[in-house]
This record gives sequence, C-alpha cells and structure tokens, in this order.
Amino acid sequence: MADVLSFFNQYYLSILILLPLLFALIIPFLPDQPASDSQDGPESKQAKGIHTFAVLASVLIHLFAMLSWTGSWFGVITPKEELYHWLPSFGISYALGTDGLSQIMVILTTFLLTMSVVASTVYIKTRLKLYYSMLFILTSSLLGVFLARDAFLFLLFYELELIPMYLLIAIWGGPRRDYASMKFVLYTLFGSVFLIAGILAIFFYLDGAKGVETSEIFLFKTLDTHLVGTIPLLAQLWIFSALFIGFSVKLPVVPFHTWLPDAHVEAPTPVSMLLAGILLKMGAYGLVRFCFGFFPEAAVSLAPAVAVLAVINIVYTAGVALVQTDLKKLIAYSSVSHMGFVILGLAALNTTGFNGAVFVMFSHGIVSAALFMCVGSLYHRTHTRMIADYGGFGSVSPTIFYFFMFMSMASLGLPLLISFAGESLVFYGSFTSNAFHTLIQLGKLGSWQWTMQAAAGFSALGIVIGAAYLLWMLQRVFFGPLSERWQGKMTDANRSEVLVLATLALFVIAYGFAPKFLTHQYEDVVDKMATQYQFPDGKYTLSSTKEGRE
Amino acid sequence: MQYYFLNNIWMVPVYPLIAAVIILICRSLDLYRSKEISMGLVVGSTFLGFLHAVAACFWLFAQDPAHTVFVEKNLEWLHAGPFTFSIGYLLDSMSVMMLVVVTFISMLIQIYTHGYMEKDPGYSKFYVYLALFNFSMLGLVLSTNLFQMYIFWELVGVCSYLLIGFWFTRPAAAKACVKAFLMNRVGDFGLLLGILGFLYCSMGWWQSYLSHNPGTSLLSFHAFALAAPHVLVVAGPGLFTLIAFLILMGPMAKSAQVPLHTWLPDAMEGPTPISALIHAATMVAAGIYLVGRVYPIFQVSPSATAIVAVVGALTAFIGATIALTQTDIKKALAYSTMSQLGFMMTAMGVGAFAAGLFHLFTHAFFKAMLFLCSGSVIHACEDEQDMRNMGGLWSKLPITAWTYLIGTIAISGLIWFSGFWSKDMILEGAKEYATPIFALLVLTAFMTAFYMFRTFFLTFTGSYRGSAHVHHESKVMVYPLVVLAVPSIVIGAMLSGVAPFEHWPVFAAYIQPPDVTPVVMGMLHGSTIAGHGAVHETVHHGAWISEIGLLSLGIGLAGVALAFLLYGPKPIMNLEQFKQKPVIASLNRLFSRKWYFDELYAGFVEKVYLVFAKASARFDSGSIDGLVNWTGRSVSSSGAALKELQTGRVQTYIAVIFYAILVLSLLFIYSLL
Repeated sequence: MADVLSFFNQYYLSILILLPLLFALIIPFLPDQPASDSQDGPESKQAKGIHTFAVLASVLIHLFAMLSWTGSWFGVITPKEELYHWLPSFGISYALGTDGLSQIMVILTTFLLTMSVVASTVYIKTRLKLYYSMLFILTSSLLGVFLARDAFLFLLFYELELIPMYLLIAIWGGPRRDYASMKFVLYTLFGSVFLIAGILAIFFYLDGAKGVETSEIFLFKTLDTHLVGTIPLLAQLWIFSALFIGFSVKLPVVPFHTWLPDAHVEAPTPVSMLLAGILLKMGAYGLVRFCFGFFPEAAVSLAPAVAVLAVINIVYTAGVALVQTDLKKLIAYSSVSHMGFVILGLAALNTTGFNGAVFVMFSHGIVSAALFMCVGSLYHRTHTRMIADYGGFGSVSPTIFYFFMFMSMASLGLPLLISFAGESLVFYGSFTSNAFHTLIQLGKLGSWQWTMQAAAGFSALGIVIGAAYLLWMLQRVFFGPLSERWQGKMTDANRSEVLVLATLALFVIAYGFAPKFLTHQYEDVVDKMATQYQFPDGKYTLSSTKEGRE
Repeated sequence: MQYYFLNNIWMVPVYPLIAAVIILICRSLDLYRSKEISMGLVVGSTFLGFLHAVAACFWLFAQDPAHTVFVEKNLEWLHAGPFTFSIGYLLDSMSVMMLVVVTFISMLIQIYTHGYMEKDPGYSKFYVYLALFNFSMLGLVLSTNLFQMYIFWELVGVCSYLLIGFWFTRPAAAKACVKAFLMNRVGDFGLLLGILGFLYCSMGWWQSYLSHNPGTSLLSFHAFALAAPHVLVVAGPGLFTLIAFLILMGPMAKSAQVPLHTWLPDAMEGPTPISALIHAATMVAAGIYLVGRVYPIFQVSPSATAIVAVVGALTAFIGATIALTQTDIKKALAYSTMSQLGFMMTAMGVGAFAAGLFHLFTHAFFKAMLFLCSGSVIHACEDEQDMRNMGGLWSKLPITAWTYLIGTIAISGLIWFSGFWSKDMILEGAKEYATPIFALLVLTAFMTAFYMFRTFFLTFTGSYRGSAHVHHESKVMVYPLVVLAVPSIVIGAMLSGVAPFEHWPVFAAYIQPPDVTPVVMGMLHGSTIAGHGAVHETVHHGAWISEIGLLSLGIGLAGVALAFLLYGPKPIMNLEQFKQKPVIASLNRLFSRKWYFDELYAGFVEKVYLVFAKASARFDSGSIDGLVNWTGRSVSSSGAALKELQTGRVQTYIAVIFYAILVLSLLFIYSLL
C-alpha cells in the first residue's frame, strides 16, 4: 500500500496529464455511432454508450485530480516535482510541479470538464467519438499548462491546446464556424509570436549568466531566482511587455479581444463553457505566473498602464455588452469585462489585489460556464440567440429562468455568491495600493499618485453597468408575457441540464458563503509573490506617504 | 430562557434562512403541497426571531440608559493582506430597536400575506422570498461593521428586486424591479467608493486598532467615533466631505432620497404586502439606519452634516409635493414614505439623532398599517388602485377605514398619536439647526396632513365611484391591521417619558449618538471644528404640550381642514377648474410629472449612455475587429496578387533574371564610379 502511494506521489502529475490523453486514445475503439444519427433525431444505443463512457471518464479524471486537493478528506496524495532534462543544450526540460495556484486551476479544469461532458450529452449529437477525443486532448493540454514548471514546456502545452479547440469549433460550431475557428487560431498564434519572442529572449539573456546552468534555464525556479539581477531593466520591460501582449490575446485584454465573441458565438455550448471557464484562465495564469511573478521590477514600472487597460476592459466592454443583440455575445463580452478585474487586481501589486485576481479567475470560471450553459439551454430549444426573438420565458421555463437569474446575480457580484469575494478583494486591494508611490520617489511620473485610486474608482462603474446589462437581458428574455411565437413550443430544462446547473450553483453558494476555503488553497503562493513588491514605505496610509514625500 | 435567546441572537437571521431552504428543497422535490406549511415555517421562523428580540429588549431596558453596553462578536470571513473582513453580530440599543421593528412587522405581514396571496400560484415562492428578505434584513440589522452591512445591504436589494418583480409577466413590474436594482446599484457604487476612500485614509490606523482590540473587526461601527476624526485629519476637510457624500449615496438610494428616489414609487408594482414590509417599514429605513451607524463621519464634518440635512429636507418637500397629485392610492403612500424618509434624513443631518431613529421606529408601524389598509382596499375592489374609482368604502370596510384613519392621524402628527412625538422632535432639532430647513419641514408637515387626509376622504367617504364589486374584508388580513393600530396610537407617547408613562424607558435616552467630541478635541485641539462640539443631544423628555407641538398640531389641523374642504363630503370648489389657473396648472404639471426626474434619467440613459455604448459597439466591431479582418484579408489578397507572378513560363523567368542582373550590374558600375 505504501509502495502504491509513493509511486503515485512520484508520478502523480504525469499520470494526471496522461490520463485524459489515455481516454482520448481509448474512445476511438468504442463501437461506432450509426451514420444515421443527426442533431435532432433520437439517440442510438451506441451514442448513449459513448456519452456514458465520457461522463464516467471525466468523473474519474476529476476524482483523480481531487486526490491532491489539500485540506479535505480527499487529499491523500502529496505530488512530487518531476524533472527530466529533455534538450539540455537548449535548456528545455520536462518539469512538472504543483502549488496552491496550479492546484485550484487543475481542479477548476477537471470540474468544468465534467460539467461540460454532462452538458455534451444533451447538446452534442454527431461525431461523438472525435468530439470526446478532442475534449480529452484539450484537457490534457490544459492540465499541462497549469502543471508545467518549465517555461518552454508551458509554451508547448499552451500551443497544443489550439488544435483540439480549433477542431471543436470548426466541426461542431454554428453557421460561421469556419471564420470563427480560423480567427481564433490565427489570433492566438499572433499572441504566441510574442510569447515565443519573450521566452527566447529570456534564454539568450540567461544563457551563460553567472550561476545559471544552461540545462535549467527555463525552469521556473531559475527564472524566479536569477531573472531579476541578470537581465537589465530595459530588457525586462520589453520581455514583460511581449509576454503581456501574448497572454493578453488569450485573456483577453482590449484591443486583442475580438476573437472571443466570435469564437464563443460559434462554439457549441459545452465548448463555450470550457472556453470561458478555463481557456481564458490560461492567459490569466500566465500573467500571474510569468509577468507578475518573475518580473517584479518591470511590473512596478508598467503597473499604471496595466491599470488603465483594466479600466478599459471593465467599463468599455461592459458598455459594449449592454447593446449586444445576441445573447451569447452579451455573455461573451461580460467575460471580457470580468477579466478586467483580474488585471486590475494584478496591477495593484499587493497581496489583497493578487488574492482577488486569482479568486476572480476561479469564480469567473464557474459562473461563466454556468451562464453559457443557460444560454445554450435556451438556444437548444429556440435555435436563435437573438434577444429580440425571446421574451416572457420566465413563465414557461421557470427552471432555466431561476438558474439564469441566479447565475446573473452571481456574475454581477451579489454578496454571499462566489464573485463577490474576489471583486471585493480586487477593489480593496487596488484602491489601497501604493504601487505608484514608488514611481513618485523615482522622480518620474509624479502625477501617477492617484492613478490607481482613479482606476479602481472607474472600474467600480463596472458593477453598475454589469448589473445593467445582465438585468436588462433578464428582463428582455424572461420577463413580460410570452410571445405568440413560443406559445406551446418552449420547454423547461431537462434532468441533465438541471444536474449541471445545480452542481455549479452549489459551488457558487458554497464558496460565496465561505470564500476562505478557496483563498486558503492558494494564498501562500500569491502572498509570496506579493512580497516581491515591498515598497519603501510599506504602510498603507496616505499620511505616511505624505511624510515620505516631504 | 432569556439568556438562551440573548446569547444566540445570531440565530435570528438564520431561522428564516433555514425556513427558506427547507421550503425551497421540499417544494422543488414536491414533498408537500399544503400552503399552510410554507406559511407556518416562515411565520414560525420570524416568531422565533421576535422572541429573541423581546429578550434583547429586556436585556437593554435592564441597563442604565446613560451607560448602555454593547456586545460584539466576530468571525473572520475573508482574509487577504492587511484586510480581515469579519461577519458577526452587534447587540446594542440601535440593533435591538431595529430587531423589534423588523421581526414584529414582518411577522404580521407574513400572516397578512396568507390572505392576500392565497389564490396566487406563486404562493410558496413568495414565502421563500419573504424569508430570504428577513434573513438579509436581520443580518443587516445585526451587522458589526460596514463591510458586513454592505453584504446584507446588497442582499436586501436583491430581495426587493425579486419581490417587486414577483409578477414579472407584467411589463410594468419587470421594468420597476430592474429600475430599483439599478438605482440602488448606483448608490452602492458610491457607498463602495466611500468605504474604499475611508479605508485608504485610515488603513494604518485600523491595523493598529485591530491589534490593540482583538475581537473587533475592520470598519467596526463602534470604532467609527475614533476613526472618523482620524480620517478627517488625514484627508483634509474637502476630501473628507467627498468621502462622506459617497458613503451617503448608499443611503440616498436605499432610502429613496432625492435624486436617487425614483425607484421607490415604481416599486409599488410589487404585491402590497411587499410595499408595506420592504418599501415602507423596513428596507427603505435601512439607509437611515446606516447613517445612524456611521454617524461619527457626519458628526465631525459640518459640511457633510449640511449635505445630509439639505438632501433630507429636499426629499421631504419634493415627496410631499408629488404626493399631492397622485391618484393611485399606493403611489400616494409611496411618495409619503419618501417624504417621511426625508424627515428622518433631515433629523440625522440637523443632529437630532434620536429623533430620526424614533421617527423611523414609529413610522414603521403606522406606514406598514397604512399600506396593509390599502392592500385590503385593493383586494376588496378587485385590484383597483385608482382612488378616483373608490369612495364611500367606509361602510363596506369598516375596520380598514378605522385603522386607515388612525394611520392617517399618526402620520399627520395629530392628537398625540405616535407620529406626533417623533415629528415634533425632528422639528425641534431643525429649528435649532437652520431656519430654512425648519420652514421647509413645517410646510411639508402641512402638506402631509393635507394629502393624507385627501387619500382618506377620496377612498372612504363620499359615494362609491368605481364599477368593481366590493368584497368584504378578509379576517386574516384584518387582524394584523388591528394589531398594528395599537402601536400606531400609543408607542410614541409610551417611549417619550410623559405621564402616565414617566417610568417607561425613554427612547431618546437609550438611542444616543456616539460621542466623538473628546476625540475630536484631542486631535484638533479644538481648532477647526470646536464650534460644532454640540453633538451631545439633550435627552428629550416629551411634554404633552410644547411650543413646537402646538405649532405642528396647528399646521396639521390646517391641512386636515383644507383636505376636508376640498375632498370631503361637500367640496367647496370645483378642483378641475382651479387646476386650470396658470400658476396652479404649471405647478400641478411639475408635481404630477414628478419634477421630471424620470425623464431626466431616461434621457441620460437613452440619449447619452446608450448612444455612447452603441458607438463603442460599432467601434468594437468596426474599427478593432475591422482592423483584424483587414489584416487577414490583406494577407490573402496580397497572396492572391503575388501568385500571378508565378506564371510557370520559362521566358518570363529568364526575362526577370536578365533585367535583374542588368539593374544590379548598372548599380555595381555606378558604385565603382
């Protein structure tokens, strides 16, 4: 028994990444679905079998991932770091590791995978085997991204995700799927150019530097200890910017966001759930891990710009969301808006802001997946996404209505639901941030002092506009009398949909009531990250900074 | 027994939450169908809360009013960096007062609801919402700190949204609930920024305070008397006033103060029990309660106080003027609520702290009763709300008419009913503060008596003008009216220390504003705000006859007389002709169009913000995405153009090579020269 446990401890991370891949390889050997299966027809026995297999596999993956969830009765495994030198002369190794931050992203991935697979049993009817294989390959690459401890390996997994995602949108997508999937791939590759440039630059700067082994250049621990001090500040600024742009595409940050509404609108519902739930978080994770984790000096200098981008993200896209006529686009823009809170929290450069940013990453994952599920359930029944076509569904589809309303409330940051804690931390962190006081003491940019406060203040407008677009949407979709068009045609959520939405709702309530259980998982990681940002006047009062200036 | 109720006072909000969860689960699994179980669970949970509140009352009154103690217990809710957010319960005179009001009135209204909603298909859902509201409201009342209050503050807002939109298939209700939520969000936006600004200026102070006082919490209400002067010093008077104003925005939206008031009248689209409970007695008073909780912020800054007083007085006045013209009985009552909330807010501004909360207390009883009366009338008249189609209902609905009359007398501040005492105290405070505000309030008091009796005469006297068949009053709806009539008559006098109640606890003695004077004096050496040191309110022992009392009685009687002459059984003049006169007509238009606030906001949203948002959306899909698509297209079109060069004909290639070599060799020769 002890041997088994130690084996799992040793290879847990690799197994976790390979497990979905294994399922992806098994699925092609399942019995074929009859060619007669169409989107609307009854399901064949084989199709049911494939669905069942996928659900069981995803649950298994989730349970396996839960084995390392510390602080619960599940957490029996303490995974060890894995390190194999792969191409030593280029500094590339296969290094895996985990910490609180990776942990919650892994759990989010596997959890949303399960949700998405259950949703797929309702919404996906054609070419199931290919579909599920792609879904599981996608999961593998996502897990790889969050568990990689080598910058190059990270990049590899980061790019690997493109292939299954492209196919998922291009094969099972809506009418404009070719355009949307191509745009998604090209746009992301555009971002990757910057990522590769940044990561290569790191290699050239660190190669041959004092105390750095060539074979270990890309390891996170090397970057953590040797990056600052070895690379000149100006180069750090450039690398930071390149990485930031790269991750901005995925997050997305305005103006690199226009792929997202298209991809979301065309992607099938379960894929939208994953796309909003986790794929965007890869960008956020990259920002936390790389930009703000390894480049503190550059981050301090560029934080004002990041804060400004955050405000634009939050307020501008919320305004754009308000006037969308397509329900799915509205939710997609709301995702962009919420990602603004992540970068606002990061720009604060303090513990509270970082905590809040990571919390928003997690909470948005759950809430946006649920919102896309709600949209999907409407689309599945009406075959239209135009808000103007809807109206008065509250009386005929009460279950969808109440879940949609509940998730909208969660999304607009209602207290005691999951998003509130994260957004509060971001606001409190950014408003009390003194990230810009350092700049004042540097003698540059003296007027930046109130920028962070102003940024936080403007972002708070997001809570008004956010409420506006969600409530207005609810009003137009569900309130009022049911129009003639849908009389007798609309049905309520079926059992699988209720299962998915209720499970997500449960987590929305649980972490809303007790956010501590989530922050406990990752706070040591971000706290450590935030200690890099010790400002000369570390006190959080206006008076002390005033004195400091005189 | 008493100790059990006292020590477990945190259970008060938890009972209704449990009731809500039980109903929710059982109803969605269809475990029971009987309506009475839903009602029983919710009423029972509130009744338990009421027992706690009574126990707390005994605990409070056993203390010496000059030295009341408070109990504060906190649990860490979230921790990050220097911030530790706590949730807990605070037991002091203010929270005890609110607990009594909320649990008592909630309970009666929940009983009343059984009669009102009996035939509604959403009966159990309604009780779930009521229970959730109780949870949020009681959580708000027991909050120990501003952060916790913000949590429950938003939750009562969402309950209000759900309940206004209860009949969401009606477009008006759908609009009203969204409007209410958004208007409150605007207020919350200010409140959030105010809290952030306040914290920004005092983070270091809080850290040292918390380390010296374990067991308290960040933004704890009982530390505000110390924190506010500190923030004033750090921020300076200008910035401090801004912070105070931002914090005030929250109460302004929640308590329907000008200019964030427009949601309250529209909220009357909700079922009437909701109008009585949430939009008259409890939730809308939460704004006043919050101002009372963070009172030191306003105490230390004269300009902040002035803002509160002016906002309150304007609200009182504007609300009353609009109420003059309303024909919908619930709308008229809604504007009167707004006006009365204005009175309370003014009281907070003029330094009459106890008076404001006393008015909150008495108003809750008689306004809840008035709304329940209107509900009884509407129910009897088959959902008719227009007073022009009522009249002469006295004979059909005697108990409703009597209780409505009692409520009308109370709100008008007549013959020593409960409203008289609290309004009296407010007028006294305003008189000491500034004459214009006092004058405005007196004028408003006159209008209050007038429009309230106008509604009374229009509804209950004269002859019936409607077409609907009038039903009789339902018993379950009448009992709460009778129960509420008692405090509406006597509670004011009982808690004012007048004979024969001189041995009863005096409200103003227990509800005292926090004492900031010593801190302010110590910090500022009496320099800047010494003139404002008079924050000690003398405990008001009411008298049956006083100068102000006589004045308000006279004013009130004048209002009643005018209403009687114009709307009574024998009107002395034709009002329609009177309304045609030029000045009157324009005033009438201004009042009946509600001072054009709605038009202003709708104009801003439609003509400014939506236009801007649409422009952003066009920019987004046109410019940003246009650039992206242009890049893609230009790559493929340039590829298409370049592919023409690849002809596959050898002659072309040789010609290109020949000319290229020619050009290059010419260049080479040229460089040699």
